[in-house]
Amino acid sequence: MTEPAATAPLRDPAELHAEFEAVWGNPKGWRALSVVNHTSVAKRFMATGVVFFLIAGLLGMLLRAQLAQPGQGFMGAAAYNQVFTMHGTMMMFLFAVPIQQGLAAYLLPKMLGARDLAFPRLGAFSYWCYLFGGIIFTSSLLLGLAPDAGWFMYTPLSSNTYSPGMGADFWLLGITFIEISTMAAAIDIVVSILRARAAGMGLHQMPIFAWSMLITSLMVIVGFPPLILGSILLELERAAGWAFFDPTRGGDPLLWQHLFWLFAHPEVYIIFLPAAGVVSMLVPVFARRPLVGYRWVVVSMIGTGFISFGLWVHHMFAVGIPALSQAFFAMASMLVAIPTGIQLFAWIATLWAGRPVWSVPMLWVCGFLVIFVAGGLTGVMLAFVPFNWQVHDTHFVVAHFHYVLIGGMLFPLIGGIYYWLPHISGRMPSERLAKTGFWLTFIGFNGTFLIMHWTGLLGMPRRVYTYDAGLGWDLPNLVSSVFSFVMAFGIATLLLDLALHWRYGRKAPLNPWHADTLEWASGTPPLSYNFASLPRIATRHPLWDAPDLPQTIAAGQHALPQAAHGRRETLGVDAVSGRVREVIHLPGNSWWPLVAGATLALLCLALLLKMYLPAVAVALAAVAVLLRWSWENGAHPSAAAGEGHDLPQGLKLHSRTFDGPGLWGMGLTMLADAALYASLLFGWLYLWTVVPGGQVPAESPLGTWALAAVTALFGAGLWTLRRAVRRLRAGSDAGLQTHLWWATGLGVAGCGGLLWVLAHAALQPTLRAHDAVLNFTLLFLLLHGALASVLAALQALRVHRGHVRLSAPYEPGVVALLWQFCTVASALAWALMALLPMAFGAPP
Amino acid sequence: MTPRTHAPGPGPERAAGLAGHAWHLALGLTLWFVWFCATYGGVAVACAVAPPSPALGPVNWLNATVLLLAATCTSAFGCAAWVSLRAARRVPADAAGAGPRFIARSASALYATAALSTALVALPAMLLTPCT
Repeated sequence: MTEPAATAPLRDPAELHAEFEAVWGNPKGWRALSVVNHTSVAKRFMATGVVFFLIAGLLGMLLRAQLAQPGQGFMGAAAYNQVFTMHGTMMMFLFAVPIQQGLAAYLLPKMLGARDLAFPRLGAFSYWCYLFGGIIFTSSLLLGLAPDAGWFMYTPLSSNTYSPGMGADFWLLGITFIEISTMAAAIDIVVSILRARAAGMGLHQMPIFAWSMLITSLMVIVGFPPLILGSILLELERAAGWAFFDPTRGGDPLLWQHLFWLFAHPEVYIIFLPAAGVVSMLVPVFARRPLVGYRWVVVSMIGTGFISFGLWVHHMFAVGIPALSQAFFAMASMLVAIPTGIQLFAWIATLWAGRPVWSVPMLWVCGFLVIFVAGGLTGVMLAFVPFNWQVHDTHFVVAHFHYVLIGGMLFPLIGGIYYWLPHISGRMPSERLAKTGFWLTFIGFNGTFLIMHWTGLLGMPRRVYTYDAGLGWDLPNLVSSVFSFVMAFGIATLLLDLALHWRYGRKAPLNPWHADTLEWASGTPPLSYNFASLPRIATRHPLWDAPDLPQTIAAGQHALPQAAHGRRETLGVDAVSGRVREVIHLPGNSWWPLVAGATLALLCLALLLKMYLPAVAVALAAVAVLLRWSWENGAHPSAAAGEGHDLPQGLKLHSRTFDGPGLWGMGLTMLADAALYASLLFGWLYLWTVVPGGQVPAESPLGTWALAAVTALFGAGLWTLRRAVRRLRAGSDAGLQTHLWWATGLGVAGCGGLLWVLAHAALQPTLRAHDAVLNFTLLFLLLHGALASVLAALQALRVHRGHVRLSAPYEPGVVALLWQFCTVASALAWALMALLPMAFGAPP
Repeated sequence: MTPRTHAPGPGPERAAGLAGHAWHLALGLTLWFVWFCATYGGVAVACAVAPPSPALGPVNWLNATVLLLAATCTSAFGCAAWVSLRAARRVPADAAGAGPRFIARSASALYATAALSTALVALPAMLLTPCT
């Protein structure tokens, strides 16, 4: 492929703007709900995140008011349990992750020189799921039905016996719904970073924030599925009586803890790494020099991301795990401090070597450095098993994680918001209000949580709604509570500043901080299409190296400087080198994301209300909506206006190639699916090994060969599909539709085989955890097999309609990835659940 | 002795060879995680099936196996770090080679991280009894 022309004929910027605005501009009125543009969707994400932050913050204030004095009667135990559960859950799931994903969705295309994210409709869908899930979850508070088992929902506390109401169901269903949003956003972000950048921007030239979001999003994709699985299993136990975590039926409550912390420890770094990325963006700008040790910072972030998956048991040091196993996790917990330390030294070295200028964003960065280092040090203390036992479940731990999370995430986030605020609104905030807000927040935070370490060391346990006088906890609790209100005033001052600046803030210049990255070339506030032409970028500091870029971009002097064809498009590049490979055509505004999100919200409500028959109907409707949405894709006329004859020489629209962003999106979806399935197989082996008397019988109820036959059928379907793709690659679409129908038939036969196994295995999932896991696995395979068959059939129909053909050969290869997953998953189920017990199971 | 010719060198990607592939950014620590889970899970299974006598202290077959596996993996990660570093040195020091050089050097540091992590995490097996 040849690179698009570096210089195009000069055009009138106003005329060019009108041309692009006609294609990219947002509709007004109620049709604004159909908007998919990343800037608009991301702003909605951030605004919604702030609302949930305020609600969760108010809950935190209630907690501090209750604990201000001993014997306080402000709240009873039941209300207190609900409030701390909701506070923690909302902060983690409804604020910390979504708001950073929103910030990333807003910034990344602009930083990377693209016009939008790779999957704009998926981004909008992600937002609606987040909004609806958040509303459903938060409404539990107003209904007095909020979950009260803690944000970790440990079993058996969260099981039917001890949490008989709807509270736990709100948590399990609501949070799983929100996790759909998080996963969708993560997939969108990864594909966008890897495939939709400026021409020539290699991985080694990406802004550090893009690296941090790439790593974070991959962590979400691998780290969230264990909790999604755990939530599904626990809800099945609560709603259908299946045994997974009940030790009287062969289950184990510790399995929940493993699944939860497999997610929740990486979650801490999922929250921290984007914030670290923000700091790495701000420090060089205000130090007025490039970041010291760019490569070391990247390596540190990758190292942190991986090692964070090896720490989960340090949350379980008190459950009776042997000392050697605990020591493995203690060592890993200490190790993870090293890469984090490298980043800190890189920031300090950058400031040291530069000519720093003081500003409001830097104030928050400095606050972050102080607080996060303190939180990191107490984290290393907690990695020591004997110390961990001493302070386990005390306020010391509460103080530690607030230092890490507020210091490590909220401070950099607010610094970042102040930094990018002129970009978002086009106006500057008030320096006086901003500084007042910072100092009130900083002093209030430390007054609250520094003292709380002391309260914890004096032995005050977490999650108690009151305490007796005279235990030595009165004064520190009172001090913490008073300062928590100081912090609240700080946050209120910030909000006042944000609110006032929209009206009274002075107009921001184009690049008010003299920053180096490309987002500052997209306008303040940004244009709906970001860039009228897409420049070639071969440097980490485009605006420092070429200060006239904003002007040449607006004059259409770079690639793809037209929109008269009616398509939304951006460049698709090689993931590593940034070489241009194709033109990605992006879908326009649509109601499907909203309809799909609303249908899933209905499903969530039906399950909450235990209306299972309507739930089945709504689930089918949701599948129908999603499939209908998928129909408007690829070479469908509504997805790609025109045939792309107007493209730069040698470039094609991505739907006319074999390697568009959808292939990467499906690959990442399968990665998430694989993480979920691996967690399930871990659960199977865990219960087999750990539960006393839980040994698996040598003769599997699934039989020896049934799953082998299913695997063979799925494998044959995969082979057929792959053969069709190979032929397309070879330049022939003869028999394409027939191949796809054959694959459909083989998939249906495989599903039939699974149904036969389910009918003949006589499993009793309500009586034995062993049977419950087998039953769940079979249903999991059935669901995937059915989806693979339906998608193959849809492909056959798309061939019939001409949406898939020799010149548009993209989609069958995408669907083949799902078939590959089905084949491997059923083969693994056969090996681990039918064959392995023959070798190691209990004799009859 | 044949004199060296000054023929044009290979492209930067080819100079780095397979060791310069971007997958190496993830491979080392992915394998480290597999080792980590296998060690943790393996110790749990061994303790359930055939626990060594606590009277033996840390000197027993299970700890020896843990340490042997860790030593093997540490060596392998160390070798991979060295190979990646050599690959980085083969890449021409010009703008075209910046990308492959970045990948190879980063991969080398990440393999070294995996080696260090393996060695340190396994270290307690020299001191602690496994199943108590």
